[in-house]
Amino acid sequence: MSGESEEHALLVSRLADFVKSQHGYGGNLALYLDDQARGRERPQRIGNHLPDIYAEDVPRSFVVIGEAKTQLDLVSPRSRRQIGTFIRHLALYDAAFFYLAVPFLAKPAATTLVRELGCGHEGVKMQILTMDIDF
Amino acid sequence: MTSGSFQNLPINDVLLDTSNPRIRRFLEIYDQDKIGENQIGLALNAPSSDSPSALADTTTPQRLRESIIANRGIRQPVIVNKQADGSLICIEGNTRLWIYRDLHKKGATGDWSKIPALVHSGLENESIDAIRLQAHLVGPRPWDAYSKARYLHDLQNKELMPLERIVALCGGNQRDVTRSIQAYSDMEEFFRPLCEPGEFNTERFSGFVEYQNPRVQEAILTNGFSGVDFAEWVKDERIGPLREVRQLPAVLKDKNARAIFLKDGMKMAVKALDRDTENVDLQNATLGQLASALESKANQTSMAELRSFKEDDGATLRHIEAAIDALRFLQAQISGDV
Repeated sequence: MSGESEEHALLVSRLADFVKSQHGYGGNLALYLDDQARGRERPQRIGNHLPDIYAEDVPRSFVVIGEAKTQLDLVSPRSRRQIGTFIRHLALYDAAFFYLAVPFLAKPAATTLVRELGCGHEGVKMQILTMDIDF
Repeated sequence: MTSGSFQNLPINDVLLDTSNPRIRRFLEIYDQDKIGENQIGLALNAPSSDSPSALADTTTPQRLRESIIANRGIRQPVIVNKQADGSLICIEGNTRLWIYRDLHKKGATGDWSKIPALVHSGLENESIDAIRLQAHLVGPRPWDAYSKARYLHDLQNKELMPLERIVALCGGNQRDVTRSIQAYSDMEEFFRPLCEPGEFNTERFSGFVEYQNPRVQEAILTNGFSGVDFAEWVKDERIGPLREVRQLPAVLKDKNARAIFLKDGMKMAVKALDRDTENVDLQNATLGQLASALESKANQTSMAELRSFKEDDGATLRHIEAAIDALRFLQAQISGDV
């Protein structure tokens, strides 16, 4: 695994822990994780994009999408399209959460991006999670 | 035939049945003297059918294994025949016995050294056939999809069983379980209030399973409709065969097709969409146009054409099979199931 994908995998794993701790208390959380683990059920595509994490309680009263981005990946046009699609999708639900996990140094860029893309979708609760990553 | 006696048998005292119809066709490729555990294991783990519907088979060996682990054992004993020489042959439940042996060999948590069994003595061939027929050709009467969903929903919401536990008991497929519960919940919320007493038709349930597809739901909501609108379409049969639900994103996206759908239903709307695909040059056609033309052509195949395909030395069939493989792969890629 390259340094870049190793960093991404770590962010996804931390993000999954966070979603479980925030939303898993009722014992009804269905969480789908795209971490390349064999046999794991992956999230479904939203638009043309596959989120790193998709979770909802069952029967559904909220929806969560989580995306992890390395500093390099965060500023790409593809990431912008992807995050925009996820937020627009979440805006269709009454209770929706979007979490973006980034390395600590990428927080300013992530904040700007989420603020921009989240404009007009105030119903979606958004949070940026930062993690210190050492190599 | 007597009712047999219930015993917990040591797993290695019971022989797997190589004449079992499920695996015989796989074992025929081996030298009959050299058939061992590995060959039988491979045969038992093969899907139960070559048909595409095997993908929808809910009792795959893997799911059975997951369910046995979650249950810490089997609830239904295997059936064993004690032969005149004292040997014990498993005539029903070979996959379960093999899973027990495998779990025991791999040191899985729990006691897998003995398996619950109903032991008969000296069964005649006719009785063995009767047991197999009842177990696999008649089988227990399966519940319909709505009843299964209702049961899962009640387990979770009335018995308060955690979702994780339900998924494990059902063999580990979280998506199937959650879709089923959510579909039941949506049908109760949106569809039931529209129905007069005696009008609630559980056969419409599959439409609500299709409704769980994010593409379908997004198409409905972004076009200003709601779950209640969807339930109305299902109720007044504007959506006929419920697989037509999958056509909703394309129909709602197209202004003309959407208007036709709301007025005359899905069949007419799809026809309107397909009209655009007619008269397109084959080389310049998009994949969607080709697929639509292919579907239409296949549905219009005459008996004479069918006969000619049978006699063309497989030339047509070869192309059809290759296309099916490629399209199935593409479908899985697009729908994100891989």
